[in-house]
Amino acid sequence: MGYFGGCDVGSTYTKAVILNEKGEIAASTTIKSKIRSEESAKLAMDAVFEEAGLRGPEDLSYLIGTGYGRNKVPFADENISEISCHAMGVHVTAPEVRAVIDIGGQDVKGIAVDTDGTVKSFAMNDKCAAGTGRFFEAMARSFEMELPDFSKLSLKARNVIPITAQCTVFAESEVVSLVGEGKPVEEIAAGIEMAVAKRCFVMAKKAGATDSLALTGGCAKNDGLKAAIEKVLKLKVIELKTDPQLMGALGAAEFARQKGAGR
Amino acid sequence: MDVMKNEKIRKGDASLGVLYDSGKVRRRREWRGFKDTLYDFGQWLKLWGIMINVSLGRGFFKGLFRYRWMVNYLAVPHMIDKFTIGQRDEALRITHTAIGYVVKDVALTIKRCLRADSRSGNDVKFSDRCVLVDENAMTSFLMGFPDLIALQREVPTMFSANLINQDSAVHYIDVAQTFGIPGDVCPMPETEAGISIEDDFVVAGKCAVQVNTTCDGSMMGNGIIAKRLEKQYHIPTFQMAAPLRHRSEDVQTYAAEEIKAAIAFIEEHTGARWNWDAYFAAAKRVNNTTRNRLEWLDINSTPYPQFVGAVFSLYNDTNYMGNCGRSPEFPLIDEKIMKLVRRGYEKKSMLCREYRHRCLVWGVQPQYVIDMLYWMMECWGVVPLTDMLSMVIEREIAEEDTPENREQAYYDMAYLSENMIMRNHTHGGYEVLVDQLWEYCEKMNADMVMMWEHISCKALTAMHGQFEEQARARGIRLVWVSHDLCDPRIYSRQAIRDQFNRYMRTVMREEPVDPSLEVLPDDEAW
Amino acid sequence: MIRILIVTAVVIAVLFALLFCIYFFNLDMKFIVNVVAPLFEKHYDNRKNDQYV
Repeated sequence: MGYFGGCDVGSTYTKAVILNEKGEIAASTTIKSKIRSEESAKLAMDAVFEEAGLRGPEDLSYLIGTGYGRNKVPFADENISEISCHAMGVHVTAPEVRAVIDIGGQDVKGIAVDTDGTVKSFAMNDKCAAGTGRFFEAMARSFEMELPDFSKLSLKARNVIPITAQCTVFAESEVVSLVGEGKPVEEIAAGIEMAVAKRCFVMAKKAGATDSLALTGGCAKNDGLKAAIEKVLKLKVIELKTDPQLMGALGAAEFARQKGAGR
Repeated sequence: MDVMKNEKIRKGDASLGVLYDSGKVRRRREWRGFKDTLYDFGQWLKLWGIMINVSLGRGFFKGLFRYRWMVNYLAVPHMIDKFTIGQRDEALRITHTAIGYVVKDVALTIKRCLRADSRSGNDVKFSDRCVLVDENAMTSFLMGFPDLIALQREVPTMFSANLINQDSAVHYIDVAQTFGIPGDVCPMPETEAGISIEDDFVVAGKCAVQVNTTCDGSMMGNGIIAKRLEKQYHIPTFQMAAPLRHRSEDVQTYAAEEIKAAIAFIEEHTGARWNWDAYFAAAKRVNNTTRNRLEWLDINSTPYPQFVGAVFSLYNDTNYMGNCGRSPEFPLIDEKIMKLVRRGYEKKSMLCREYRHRCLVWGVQPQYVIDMLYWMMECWGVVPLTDMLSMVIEREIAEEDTPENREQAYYDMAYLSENMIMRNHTHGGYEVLVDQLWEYCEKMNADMVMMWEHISCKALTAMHGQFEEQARARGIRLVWVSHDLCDPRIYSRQAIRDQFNRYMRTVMREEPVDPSLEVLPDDEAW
Repeated sequence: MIRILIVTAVVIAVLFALLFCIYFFNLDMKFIVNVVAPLFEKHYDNRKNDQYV
């Protein structure tokens, strides 16, 4: 049986997926990215090889690298941009989705997906950390909390304390001040989620979202953000049955399956 | 659109990436085949002739040591190389004719600036004949003053300096920010403010006219500049405001009154008198320019566009704004260009290896990536048919000297002023910014729009959604490319090109025509 | 006379070759950006300007 690999080397996390000939996930992993992209890619690929019971790259028919460090994926047959891979990953998971917001560690992208999983158009913010995973990490640090706990905090809020500054640096100092004033932490957290959701609004419009969208990237696991996006954008956030953080790697593996089918 | 392949095999260098290295200028000049290389060599010699001629002018060396921006001009040939990349035959000759005259015009401005400057040439009599005007002023209010000189001192100091050296504005931006001007305003007026704060403008002119064009961001810089002009150098300054909603009938009287007031101000301070003969002679030349430009655009609407790229907007900029019909030389250059354009069209000459997309360029283009439009053609086969800055004056003005036309003339000068480069589309509402874009797309048979997104400019921001939705509805490919006008520290050249690369690969799923150009090591280059 | 013509032709040819080399290898720009411009930039940096708003 042939196997096909996708490796998404992100700025914060590196993800890898191996698909079998039928397009089923044979193995997947998510690891924290190292300083050197090659090392991240190698570690992630080693993990999926082990999980799938493969000896190594020689057992893969085709491997595609994607993400910020895609040029550094060892053994990759080809590189494809993460925008295309996220679109394809979502398409194979939920073919009805036409708009995707990918909130990664250091950037945010809005992607319009065509019926065949290709990209119709996209918009991205890669110059500012506001509204990205890095932003949430900074906010969680202000609360002295772990990220998973922080992401659920806002769900308990009865009110929302608006965070006026969208800049990560200014927002962090604003949050520290509000915590110092003794304001309820869940309400501050709700304000943070709302600020990011508003930022996503522009991306959703650019992605041409009309009634629903899918969230991908690490921040898609943030329940508070999902709730805020549904509220602000008045759009339904479609639940993906596969881990949304894996969408880039899954899309890359699917491209690999399409391209390497004849091998 | 269907891909159009150029049947004519290009002579000389095929992969243009070979010209670049990590240095400040190119590794070598382009080999264009024997005939075209020889022509380019001849133009290079001519250019050095112009530069040497400038250096012989009064006050040149004093100015060179006094003004930081002056050193940029030693690298003008490097700028010309950026404008002519990949060009052969008529296209090369059109660009050289147009940019050659632009360079000559800027050289003359530098010569005049230094001659009149109290610190360099200190020719007081000459200085008294000069009226300082903004780089973005449509100098229509000087059309009837044949003996006065419109001294656009910001052109060599800021505008064209940044075309030559991408870092030319950085020092002045830092100076302005040291004095508390925020970092997220438009870097162009901010640079001008920095130049004034540092006292790095030439000091010349009997009086000055400042305008609120191209946008109201320039008013910020104008305030600082006017204060120094008036308080320190005792040069009286007139503020001329063009209406924002320039298509509305009810603002035209106000606009004409502003022109009248500017003329009266100039008469009062220079002692010169308005000359109707000179005005109508200039009006005829402006109309001639308009007719020519519209014909060039008509040819660009066909499958064989000829006069495109940054040189098209720069030539229009110089011809309309700085000249505005006052120089009898421009019609002769227009004529030369016209001959070449018609010849190229008749021969069905193509500008690059293949045409994949017909593209309109909209929004405010960055100064420091002036070669982007040529790069789009060479790297991706995307032909920039025209750009927002070139879509200026569309109707002819009154050119016969009659009593009625003398009154009409004020309205015509106001019309020219209101429709100056950039402002006519960034101000005036969605009709001129959004609706007209689609009209031009239809007329020019464009399937793609490249939207320059100047991140410090608020003028276009409110229209993003409209652009997106309407482009989708019309099936037009819309590529957003962000930049920061003249500050390369925010978006480097490659970061700008990467946005286009990403779109072409991800959405269009195309491979470059010339892969050697996709990533260029020119971020450190001038 | 012929000798003068030959000498003139040789001088022109050498001058042409020299200038063409400068042109083609971009030596004019390389000299300016690597030698002339840094000297001027140093000069400008060392000069005190009357900065005020």
